[in-house]
Amino acid sequence: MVIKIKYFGLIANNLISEAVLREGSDVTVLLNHLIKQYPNNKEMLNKATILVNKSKATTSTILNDKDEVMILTVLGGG
Amino acid sequence: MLYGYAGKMLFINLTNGEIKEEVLTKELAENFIGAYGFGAKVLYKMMPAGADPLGPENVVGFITGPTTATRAFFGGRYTTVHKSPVTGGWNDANSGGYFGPELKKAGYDALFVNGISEKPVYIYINDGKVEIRNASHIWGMDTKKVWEVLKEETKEPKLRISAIGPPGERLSYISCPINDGHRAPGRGGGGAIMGSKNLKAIAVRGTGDIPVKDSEKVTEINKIISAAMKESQTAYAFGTWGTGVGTPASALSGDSPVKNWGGVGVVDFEDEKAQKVGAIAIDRYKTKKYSCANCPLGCGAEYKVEDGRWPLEQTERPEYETAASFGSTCLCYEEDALLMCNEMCNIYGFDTISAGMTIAWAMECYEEGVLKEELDGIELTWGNGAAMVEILKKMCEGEGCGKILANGSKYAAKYWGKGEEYLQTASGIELPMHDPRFAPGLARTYQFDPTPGRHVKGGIGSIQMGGNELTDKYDYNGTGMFDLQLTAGTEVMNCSGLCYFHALVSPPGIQNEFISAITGMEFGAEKAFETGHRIYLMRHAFNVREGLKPSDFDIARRAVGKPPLTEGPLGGVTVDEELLGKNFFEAAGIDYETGKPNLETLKRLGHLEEVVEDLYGAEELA
Repeated sequence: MVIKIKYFGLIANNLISEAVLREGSDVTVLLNHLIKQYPNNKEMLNKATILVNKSKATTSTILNDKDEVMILTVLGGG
Repeated sequence: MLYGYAGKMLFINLTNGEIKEEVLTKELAENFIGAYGFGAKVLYKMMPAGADPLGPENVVGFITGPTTATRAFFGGRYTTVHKSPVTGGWNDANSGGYFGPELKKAGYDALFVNGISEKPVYIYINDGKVEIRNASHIWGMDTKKVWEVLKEETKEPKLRISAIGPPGERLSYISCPINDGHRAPGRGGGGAIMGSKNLKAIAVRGTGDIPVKDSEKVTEINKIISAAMKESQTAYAFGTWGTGVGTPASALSGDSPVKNWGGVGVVDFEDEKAQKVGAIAIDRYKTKKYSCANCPLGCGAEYKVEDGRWPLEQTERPEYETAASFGSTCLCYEEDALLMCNEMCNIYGFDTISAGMTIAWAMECYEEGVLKEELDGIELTWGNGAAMVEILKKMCEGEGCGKILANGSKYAAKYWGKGEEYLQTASGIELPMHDPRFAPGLARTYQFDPTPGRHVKGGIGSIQMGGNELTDKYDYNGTGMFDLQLTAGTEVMNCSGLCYFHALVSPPGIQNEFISAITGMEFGAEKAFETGHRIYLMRHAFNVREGLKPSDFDIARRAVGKPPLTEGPLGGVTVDEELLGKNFFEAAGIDYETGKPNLETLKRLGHLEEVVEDLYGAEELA
């Protein structure tokens, strides 16, 4: 299945915008897929707020084909 | 000699012109650290209960901490303290830049001003020489112009000032002093306090050195921070784009309020709009990086804006709080309007959070048909940047509806007798830009901290707002002790003169190591916890003496999800702010009904004799 990905915040937007994952994969699988390709972003990916189709998701949220995942790196302060 | 301190506090009474110095005592330094720790102790003694915030009895303090003006990284801040005309209680706010270090190098850890001058004045401090000078010729000037004029007048090109603009002179409740042209202890009406005293500015020049107990250790700690920063993506991002780098993610996640706290980021301020007010987009105007004193991060920047409706030859990068208050909260993604609003707040001296939030409140009132003719014919629709700039200009100049709105949303709702249901405030002050529905611990600090409505007061909300979900953040049971520990740590940090951001990029415990190395005190985790708790109680006691109980402190219903949002990532979230408050007060040794700290806690922490005497009688001191 194909997952669309958007990044906001600290993670650069030139990361992959689509990921092909096995059916039944959850958010953890997607994050590990990204960390493998972009190990420098591990810190941020692991603490990011994740939305799936604009709703709050957890690491165990199951993904479906054509889902849109937003990876939001939120910072306190300012 | 006290290591880490200039060793003196300065007191000025503007009614009779008296200028006096006091030696900073070892007891005060060791038990209250600096900044609002000193401030709470001093104001409790100097001010009577019930003092008029705009009267001669109110005291405004400008106070540094032990890290200020040393070589300690992130140690560049100073704090203002006073009774707030907005909340009617204790107020502290802090600022970066270079004013704080300059004051300390001029010979003073703190300056406290009371009384009211007959004519406009400014206070000039130059390496221990102190004068009260005529300010009639600079009254009415904006904060950047005042700085230029006073540099010329004093023949001190390295002069630093903290000055109010015309709104402060008119006693605007949301006005503040501005230092270094664009840094501000913004919140709680400090501009009005200075204005009420006819005090236009504090101008300082200092060249002294601050004694440090273990200079080599400070260097070693700085190196540890540098190494940690090299590995930190947060440090890279803040250092490259500033605090606004997270604005789009915050708007979409629910961290930032949207549409006067009634909207949903992914619905009302979708990703293309959110990206436009983010620092990565706006940073194309950057001409130069800006760092506060001794800051290795440098989250500031100077901009030159040549396009758009309001070109600006030189302005500053908006901070996250500013980008969110004028951006997602007003549903405005017109970056030229955002930059213009930021610049106007800087040169006129407004708290950007309260200014943006007051406009967001007025926008909702306009859209709901509650305010129409009151707004002088301006069509203040959601996201209308031109209208936002027009309204803010009126607020800056005190003209028409701006004269009312310059006192904040609560004042305006009361004045017009309308729109109270749309207020998003905590005890009268506009809420800051991190949403308790996203970081529920903030509901406790916003509502119950002695300085309500602040996002820099620690507690469990401080780690939740960074997206950290170590615990189930919506489980409100048993939060008290962890909340108190994180609050006490933040009290110490704020009082040490360190910037909040040091904690984002440094290993844990660095602040205690800095305090130990600089002052020579044994400042371990246990002492830090006790000291932070003591400082919290001292601020809290100021409010208790004013007759304020926990039930007198409130928070806007939307901010705690009552009713909850029906969609988006925070859909269905309701925060139990009362339980969070009860848990915290129990851990802190404070009675939830009366607000009184219990005697055992006061005695155990010690150095709070005046509070014991006021609450339990002099016989308890024996």
